Amino acid sequence: MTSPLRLLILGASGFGREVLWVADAIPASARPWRMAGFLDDDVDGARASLAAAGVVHPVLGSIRDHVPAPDEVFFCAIGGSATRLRVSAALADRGARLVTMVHPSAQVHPDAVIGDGTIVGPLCTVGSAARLGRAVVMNASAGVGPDAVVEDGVFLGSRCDVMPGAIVETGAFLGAHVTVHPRARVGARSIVGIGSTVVAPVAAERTYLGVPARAVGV
Amino acid sequence: MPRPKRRLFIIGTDGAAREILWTATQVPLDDRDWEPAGFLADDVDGARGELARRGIALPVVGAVADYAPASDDVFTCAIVDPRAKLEAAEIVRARGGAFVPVIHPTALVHETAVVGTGVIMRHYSGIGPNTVVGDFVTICQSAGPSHDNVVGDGCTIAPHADVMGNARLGRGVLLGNHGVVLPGATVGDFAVVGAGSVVLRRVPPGATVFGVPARRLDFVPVREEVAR
Repeated sequence: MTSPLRLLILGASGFGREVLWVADAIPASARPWRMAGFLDDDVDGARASLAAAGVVHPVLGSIRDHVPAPDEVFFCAIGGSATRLRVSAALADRGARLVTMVHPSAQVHPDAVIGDGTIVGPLCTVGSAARLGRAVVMNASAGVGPDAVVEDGVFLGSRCDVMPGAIVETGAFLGAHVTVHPRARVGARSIVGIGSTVVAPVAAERTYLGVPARAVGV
Repeated sequence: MPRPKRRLFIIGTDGAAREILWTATQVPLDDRDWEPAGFLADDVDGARGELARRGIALPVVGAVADYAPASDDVFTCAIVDPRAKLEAAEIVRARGGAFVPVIHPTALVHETAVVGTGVIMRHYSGIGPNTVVGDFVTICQSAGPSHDNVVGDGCTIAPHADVMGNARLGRGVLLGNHGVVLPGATVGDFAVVGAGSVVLRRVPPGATVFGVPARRLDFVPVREEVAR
């Protein structure tokens, strides 16, 4: 007889509440944990904002001071990719177990591979032999096609389509409704603006926008 | 009591075909009298090697060009490119092959919609009121035509694409991901609407259009930025 694991969500912002929404939608039979509370480095601010939003779960302390217990599992709900990756890695170093969250309405092919600390939101699609890294965020109705690769810490806005065989490198941020053409490559930590269509390679650390997506700024 | 199942053969063996196999297996058993049984390919040996590498047990039973359908065979055409899809489907149909719809249980089809033979609808797709959809049309996830549209034979409507109202897609149109066809617009036969493009009024037959608003593409976007 084992007692259920306790889920702690890191970050009590709007994204943290979105993660809670997905967590609540996962049937108890499909998860070994139950929601226990939030951690946030601004404990008082987090308590106030959760109370204002009508969330009943407690803020149990700060992220930086937290020592993971054996019966705890974690999900890092920090929107900024660099921070999410850093905090997730730091927790994993302290022995924390990061869970993967898949909304029950998402369509995930049995051959797809999804990393720890990744969230697949409502109505999403993850195709045959697609690979999602760690700490990836797929917002509602986003899709990753067959054989596509989405590396660690990538953020896919709602309704993004990463088409078959495309590669989105670590930490890239794709706004809502972005399409990445088959076999195209989106460089690490780049930003692709809302509604853009990526047909040619996107360079690392750069910002792209438009249909077709072109580099903007310096 | 077990019913005899017909054998479903999927035309194509690439990633799209694996996706359609997945959709086919998600159709509830009570809603189909077929079971996925294998694939038809153009390059039979290549397809066998590819499926074996991926650990897919279903066989490649023959080539599109010369497979002779048995009486309990049914087919679905999982080719994305509309011209190739229509060509393959017509070859199999001319040999007497019967096509079945493969429609995911979450897809929504309005009761007044008219849907042709061999249509594929993936999860969360839809067909709205009084829309007429031709044969061998593929509607991908979270996409679809709304009301009073005409969608010609062999069209492929990619994920998240929208055909608004009273629009007309000719035969074999490829509407790319997130493509939008505005109300009342017309897209000619075998035209291609690029991903993320918005069609305001009219696309001539055979044209490739791209952008917001969609314009004829007279150049192919070259690899830039990273190559420099």
